[in-house]
Amino acid sequence: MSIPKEAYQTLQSIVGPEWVSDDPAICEADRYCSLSDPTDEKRRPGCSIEPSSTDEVQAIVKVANRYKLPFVVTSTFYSSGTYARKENSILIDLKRMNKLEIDEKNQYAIVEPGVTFSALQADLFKMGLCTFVPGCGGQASVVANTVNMGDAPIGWRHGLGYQRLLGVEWVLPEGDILKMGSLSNANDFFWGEGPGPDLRGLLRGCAGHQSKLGIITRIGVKVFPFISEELEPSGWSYHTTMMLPTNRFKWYNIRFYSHEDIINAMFEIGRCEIALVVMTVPPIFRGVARSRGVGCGGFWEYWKEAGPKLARKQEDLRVLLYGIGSDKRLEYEEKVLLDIVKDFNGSAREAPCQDETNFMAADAICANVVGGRFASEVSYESINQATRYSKEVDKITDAHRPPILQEYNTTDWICPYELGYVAKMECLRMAAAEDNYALQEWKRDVEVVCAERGAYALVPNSDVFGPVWGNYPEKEDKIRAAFDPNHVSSPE
Amino acid sequence: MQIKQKLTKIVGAANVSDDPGALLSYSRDCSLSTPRMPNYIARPKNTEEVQAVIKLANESGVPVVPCSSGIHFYGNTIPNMGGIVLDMRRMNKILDVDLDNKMVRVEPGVTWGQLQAETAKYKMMGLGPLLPHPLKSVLTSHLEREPMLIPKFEYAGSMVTVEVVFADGQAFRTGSACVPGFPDKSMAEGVNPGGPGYLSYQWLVQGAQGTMGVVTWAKVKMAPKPRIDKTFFIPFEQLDDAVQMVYSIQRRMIGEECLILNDVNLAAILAKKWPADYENLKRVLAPWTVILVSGGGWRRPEEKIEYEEDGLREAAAELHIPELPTSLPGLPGIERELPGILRNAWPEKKPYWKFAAKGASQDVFFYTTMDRASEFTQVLSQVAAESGYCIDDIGVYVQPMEYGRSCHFECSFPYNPNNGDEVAIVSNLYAEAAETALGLGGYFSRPYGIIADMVYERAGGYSAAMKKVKKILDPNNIMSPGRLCF
Repeated sequence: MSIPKEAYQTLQSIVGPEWVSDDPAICEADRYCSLSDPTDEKRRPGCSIEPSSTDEVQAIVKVANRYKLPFVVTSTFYSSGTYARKENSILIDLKRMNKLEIDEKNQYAIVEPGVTFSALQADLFKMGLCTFVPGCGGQASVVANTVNMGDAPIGWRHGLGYQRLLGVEWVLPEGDILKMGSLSNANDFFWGEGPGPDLRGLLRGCAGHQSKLGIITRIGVKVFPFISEELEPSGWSYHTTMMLPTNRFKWYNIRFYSHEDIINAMFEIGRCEIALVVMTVPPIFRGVARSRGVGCGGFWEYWKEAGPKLARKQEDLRVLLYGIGSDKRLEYEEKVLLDIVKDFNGSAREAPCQDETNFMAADAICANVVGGRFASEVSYESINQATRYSKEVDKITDAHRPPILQEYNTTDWICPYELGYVAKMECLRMAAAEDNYALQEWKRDVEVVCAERGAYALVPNSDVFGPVWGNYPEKEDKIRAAFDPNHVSSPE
Repeated sequence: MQIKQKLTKIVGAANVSDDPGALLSYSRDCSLSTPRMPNYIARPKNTEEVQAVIKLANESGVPVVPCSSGIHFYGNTIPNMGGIVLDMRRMNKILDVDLDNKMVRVEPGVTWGQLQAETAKYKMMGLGPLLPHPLKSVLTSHLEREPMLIPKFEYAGSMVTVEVVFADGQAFRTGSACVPGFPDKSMAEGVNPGGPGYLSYQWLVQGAQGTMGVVTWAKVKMAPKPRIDKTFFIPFEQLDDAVQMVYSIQRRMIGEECLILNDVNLAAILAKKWPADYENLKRVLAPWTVILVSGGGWRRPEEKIEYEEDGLREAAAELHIPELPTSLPGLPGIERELPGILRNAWPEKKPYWKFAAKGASQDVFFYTTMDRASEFTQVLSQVAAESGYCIDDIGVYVQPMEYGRSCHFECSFPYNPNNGDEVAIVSNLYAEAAETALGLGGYFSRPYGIIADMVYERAGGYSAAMKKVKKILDPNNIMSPGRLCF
C-alpha cells in the first residue's frame, strides 16, 4: 500500500515537489527517532513532507483528514515518541520551520518547531538572557520539549516546561488553527492563559500528548536573566564544558550522612529561596562520569568493583549558586547554604566552576554509556513522594535481579523544581539487550505498586491507573473523539 | 417532588431558600451587570452535598451557579438564566497546611483574612492579590487567576491541584491529587498540577467562572514570610520612568511585593480619615509610586536586604534616580506598616478602599507588556474624558508579573452608585474603554460580562475549541449558563 496518488500530488502542490518524498530510502530513514523504546514497532511512513509555514501544515492536515491518512510529526528527530505506528502515515517533518524571535525587554522568545535549544541559547547569551537546556540535549526542539516535558535542573529556580509556555499557535487534528493566550486576540505571545478557561490544559498534562491532538507550530516561551559575559568553552567535542565566572557562580558538592538530613536540607534551601540548581547525585552518575572513554565494557568492569563501594549510606547533593544581578548575592547565598549544610550535619566541598549539562548539554543521556537496555521509572511529585517511591522501586528491583543488572540501588535521582514545590524522581534500571523482557516485567510490577500505594507516575498505563485515577481515560477519549474525529493525529 | 424539596433533602431546610429577599441579594453584585433572580439558594457543607445538588440540577435541567465569596465584583455569580445559586461559604475549612511543600489546601469559603492568620502561625503567607475584600474567597482569587503581588518565581501559577465536581456529579481530583488515598494515605501529596494523563483539568476549570464545574477544595502555594522587611516608595512624575525602574528591579530578581500605583489608588489605600486624608494625599503624593518590599529571608535576613538594596541603588543610578525613599510624605511609620497591609485582606471595619471615594468602582483590567502601560493609561484617560468622566478620579494599578515579563494593568473608575448620571457615564465608559484596549492589543485573560462577548467574538478558534470541551464536561449546559461564550 502507498499514499493515494491524488493525495500525494496535493501534498506536492502544498509544499512544492522538492519538499515531499515517498522514496523508500528516505522514508526508511524517517522511520526511527533517537530516544524511542527500541521494542516499539515503528513503521516506515508512506511519505515524508517538510512544510515551511503554519499555512502549509494546516493544508497538509486537511489533506490527511480528506483521505483519512494518519500523520505523525517530528521536528528534530531527537524525540521520544513521534514515529509512525500505522501504515501509510504522512511524516510531517517541521525542521524547516525554524524562525526565532526574541523580545529581550520582556524576556520571552517566539519559536517555531525547528528551533533547537542550542540555537535559542546562542542568541539569548548575546542578550544576557538564557533558557534551559533539557536533559536530552541542546539539539532537541524547544517547542517539542517544552510542550512535552521541559525538564532541566535549573527548573529549581525557573520551573518546569508547562510554566514556561506562553502563547501557542496550534493546528488542531482537523486543520483548524487554535491560538491561545495573548495570541488569541492580542496577536502577541507574552501571556499564556485563557481567555477564560485555559486550553493549555488540552496541550499537556503531566507530560504532553505527543501530537495526538494536532501540531504545535509556534509558541512563546519564557527566558531568563543571565550574565552578560560570554562563557568560555573548554575541552574538545564532545568532552566540552563551559567555564562559569567565579564571581557569579559556585558549585558545591555536599555530603550528608542520613537520608533525613539531605531531604530536610533540600526543604530548607527551598524555604531560603536560594540556588539555581539543587539535586541529589546518584552514585552511578559518578560511575558513568568516571568511565568516559572506556566504553560500555569498560564501564561494567569498573562498576563491578566500584559499585559496592559507592553504595554507601552517605548521600550527595549538588548545588549551583548563582549571584543573579550581583556578586554580593552570590556571597549571601553561599553563606546561607553553608549554614544549612552545618545545621544538617553535611560537609560541603566546592566543585569546579563549570557547566556541562545546564546551559549547553551536548552530552546528555549518560545512560547510553552503559549499553544494553535501560528503563526508568519517573515521577514528578513531592520530595517526600520521591523518597518513599524510590524505596518501593528498590524493593521491587531486588526481586527482578538477575537478569536486571546490579546497580546496587544507586541510581535513584531526586531533582526538585520551583524551590522544592515539586520534584522529579528517576530510578534507572539496566539489563542486557536480550533481557529487555525483564525490564518490562519490572515496570509492570512498579506500576501495580504505584497504583496501590497512591504514587503519581509520569507516564501512566491507563489500564492500570485509569480505574483508580478518576477514570481519566474516558475524558481523554471524549476529547480525542471531539477534536480528531477521523483519528488521524498520531494514532496508535 | 419539587426542586426545593429535593434540595432540602440534600442540604437541610435551613440551607435552602427561595425567599424573595434572600434571592434578591444574589441577583446583583458590585458590578454594573444586569441583575437576574435565582430560583433557589442552596448552601452545601461538603463535597457530597455539592455532588448531589449538581446531579439534581443536571437531571432536572436547572442551571447551577457557584459562589464562594461574600462579595462579587464582576457579575460572574449573577444567575443569568436563573436556577440554583450554590453558596459555598459553609465550606470554609483550611484542610491542611503542608509545610514541606509550602502549600495549603482550602475550601471555597476560606477568606484571605482567615488564610493569612493561619499561615502566619507557621511563618508562611498566602500569595494574595492587592488588598482583597475581607469577604473575598481565597479559592476564588486563585481560580479566577487574580494577579499576585509578588512577581517572582512561578507564583503566578499558584493554584496546584483541585477537587472539582463536574456536571455529571463526579468529584474529580486533578493532577497528582487524583491518586487513591489522597491526602492521608497516599505517597503523592498533590503537588503536581499536570494530568492525570495528557490533559490538565485544573487549567480547564481555572478562569471558567463556574462554567466547567464546581471546585470544592484547592491546594495552593504559600511563600515563606520574610523575617524583616524594608519598604521603598520610589516616586515618579511619568509612568514610563516608573516602568523602566520596575524592569530594572525585576531583571535583577530582587524584592518581594512590587507594584506601581498612581496617586489616586495610593491615597485611597493609605487614607485613614476620609475625605481629608484622601484629598491631602492626592495632593502630596507623586503621580506614580513604585512600591518595593525587600524581604529578609529565613536566614541572614539583614544581609539579604543589604544586597537587594545595593541592587536597587545600582538600578536607580543607571536610571539617574537620585533617591530611594523609604517613607511617604505625611505618613510617618507607613514603611513599617505597609508589608503587613499588603499581606492581608482589607480590614473589615474600614470601607473597602476601592469604594471609599465614591461608594462604587468599575475596573477595566487586562494584561499587556509593561512598556505599553503608559500608552494604555493615556488612551483610557482620553476615553474617560470623552465619556464625561473626571480623569483626576481614575485609579491606575500596574502589577508586574513573572519578573516583569508582562503586567496586569488596571484602571479603576470610582462612581456614586446612587447617582444615575454617574452610573450611565461609567457604564458607557466601561464598554468603550474595554473595546479600545482590546483593539490596541490589551489581553483580557479573564473576560467578564460584556467584555467576554467582545473577546470571544475576536477569538473564534478559541471559542470553538472551548465549546467542544464544554460539551464534554457539561453536555446539558447547566453550569453557569449564559457566561463566557456558552
